[in-house]
Amino acid sequence: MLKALVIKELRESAGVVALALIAMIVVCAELHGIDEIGTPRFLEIRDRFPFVSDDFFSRFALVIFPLAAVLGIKQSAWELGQNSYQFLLHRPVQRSFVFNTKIIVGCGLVFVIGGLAIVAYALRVAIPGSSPTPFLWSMTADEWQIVLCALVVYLGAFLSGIRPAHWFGTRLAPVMTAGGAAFVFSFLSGWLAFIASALVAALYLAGIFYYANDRDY
Amino acid sequence: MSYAIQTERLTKHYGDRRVVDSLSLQVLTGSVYGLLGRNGAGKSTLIKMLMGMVRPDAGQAELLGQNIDNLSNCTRARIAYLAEGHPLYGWMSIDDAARFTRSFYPRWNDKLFSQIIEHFELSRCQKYRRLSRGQQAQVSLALAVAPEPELLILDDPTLGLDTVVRRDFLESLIQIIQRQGHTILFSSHILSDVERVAERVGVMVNGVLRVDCPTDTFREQVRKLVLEFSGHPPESPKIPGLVSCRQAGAGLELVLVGYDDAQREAVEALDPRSIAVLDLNLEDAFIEYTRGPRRSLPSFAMENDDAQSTRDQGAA
Amino acid sequence: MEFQCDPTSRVPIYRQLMDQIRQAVARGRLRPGVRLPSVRTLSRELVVNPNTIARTYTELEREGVLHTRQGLGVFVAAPQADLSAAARRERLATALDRFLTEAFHLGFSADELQSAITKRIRAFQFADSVSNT
Repeated sequence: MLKALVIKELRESAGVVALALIAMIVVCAELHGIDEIGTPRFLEIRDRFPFVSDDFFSRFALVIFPLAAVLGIKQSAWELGQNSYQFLLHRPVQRSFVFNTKIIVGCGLVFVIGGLAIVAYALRVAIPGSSPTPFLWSMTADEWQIVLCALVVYLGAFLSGIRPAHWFGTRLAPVMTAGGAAFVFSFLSGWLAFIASALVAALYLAGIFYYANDRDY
Repeated sequence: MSYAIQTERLTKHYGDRRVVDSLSLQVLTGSVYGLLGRNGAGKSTLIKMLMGMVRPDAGQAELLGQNIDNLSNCTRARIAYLAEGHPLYGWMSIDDAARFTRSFYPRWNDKLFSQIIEHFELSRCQKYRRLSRGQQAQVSLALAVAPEPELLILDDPTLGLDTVVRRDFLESLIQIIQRQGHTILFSSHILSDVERVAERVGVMVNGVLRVDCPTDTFREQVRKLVLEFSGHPPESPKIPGLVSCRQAGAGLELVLVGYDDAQREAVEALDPRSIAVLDLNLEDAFIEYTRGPRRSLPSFAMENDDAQSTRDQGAA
Repeated sequence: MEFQCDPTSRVPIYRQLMDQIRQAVARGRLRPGVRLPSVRTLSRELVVNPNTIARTYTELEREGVLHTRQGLGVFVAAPQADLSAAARRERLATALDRFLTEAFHLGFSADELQSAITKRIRAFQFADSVSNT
């Protein structure tokens, strides 16, 4: 049943994931030098320090945060709209198992897509002779921090989706505060960001499981 | 005598409204119970509470002997649920849905599943959203029945289905009933379906279970009296068991529950020119009973051992 | 024999079926010893709860119209004379009084009734009954 649930979540997220991948490619294409492929300029030293002083950071964030938000809401609220929870939740499994699986798949997808984007760019940069600085994995720390913050946004969005709310405004509150928090955390230094994110994430998770068990479907 | 479903004073409010009001109900194992009620009477909410989709505000319930607050997974595997509108993931093909559902249950009768699918000439690779409503209903029923459940709870399973498809669905249901030991609770608006299939009926009015007795009893007990008067008919006659009273020309149409000597005397005391007592079929009995002014509704609930009693359940 | 049921009737389904079987036996369409469809078959055919069919058969067995042979099925019983001649005549008298009352309220005269009855008996194809005086 775990396999069935995971496959289901993956298949349902496929559309969002595909869009995110395309967006990531489009947004980062310029950085990868897509317009220079095939020309000798492709392998020349660039005039920016990759990861350090180019705008990969902001482009990356531009795709990863919306992905997390959309995925979070889709996995929680879409089933409400379709009424398919009536098909899912009475099965002989704990309700927390179902929601845990959803969340793990969602977080996993955010992590993997973020990771792929980072690694892809890192590989591009690692082509010898294409960047003015040597490449160190530690240079990608900021981006990984973004991924961490994106997970917080994901959980906030999931909570938004699962919370019963009468007015659209209050419904979006968690995802908005998550976005705000993530924005703030992305400027904190390493360990602080990690702890702050973990705290907020724990809060959101508690909220998610509270509503998942308590609400009317 | 064991009960597959037992509820005790189950209650749910939405704001001020009591959608389900102190509802106590028992369904004998192996029997078929039809839950009736007009739209908004609370049938769906009751069923959702049984299935854990909605939290009750008060009261308890047991399914297959276990409290619904902590149903073991083993017990849940013996219960099938078909929600209103037979929701399912539209993107799944019939085969996807079968494989998905199957993974949750230790018992899965694939032969039975295939039989139903083939009988309706469906192909396993068809996507659920491409099927007609009737086909979707059949697939949902097949998915519900393949794990060989002991208890089936169906929320208005024939809603929106045309006559022919409804008959198909009923036939499938009969086949399920014939296999021993299945208990079925279903809510419905189609009284003729209930007449065919249900041994016992419950009628909910504004969240209260006003009727809980064998199908025949309900039909026989609700009677329509047409009284003709030479002069002016009385305004609000006091007759025990009166459901409703309507002026019809120079006469009165009364709907009563039961017609014993006391009631007959009360009717004759009104001094009508003529009294005609009409028997009703199930649909008319239901209509007359639930159409009446809600305040004065006499309830009749019968114990499972057929002792006759009038129990007023819930707030009047 | 073709069975029918009308779930919208005021008569409960089991009683409709009982009436149909009784009439078929009376008309000779169901002869003694003929096997009736099983509960399962009939319930599937008519799309009716098997308990309803079971009840029909049980009630008719109680009346002596049908009897069950263990493992073999439900059969039309051989007509039995278990009532005394006097009891049978008394029952007939009651049934006739009921019929005559209704006929009167429908507005028929005694003569009209005589010919109506004769014609109807012919059309009914009255089966062989136990003659017992």
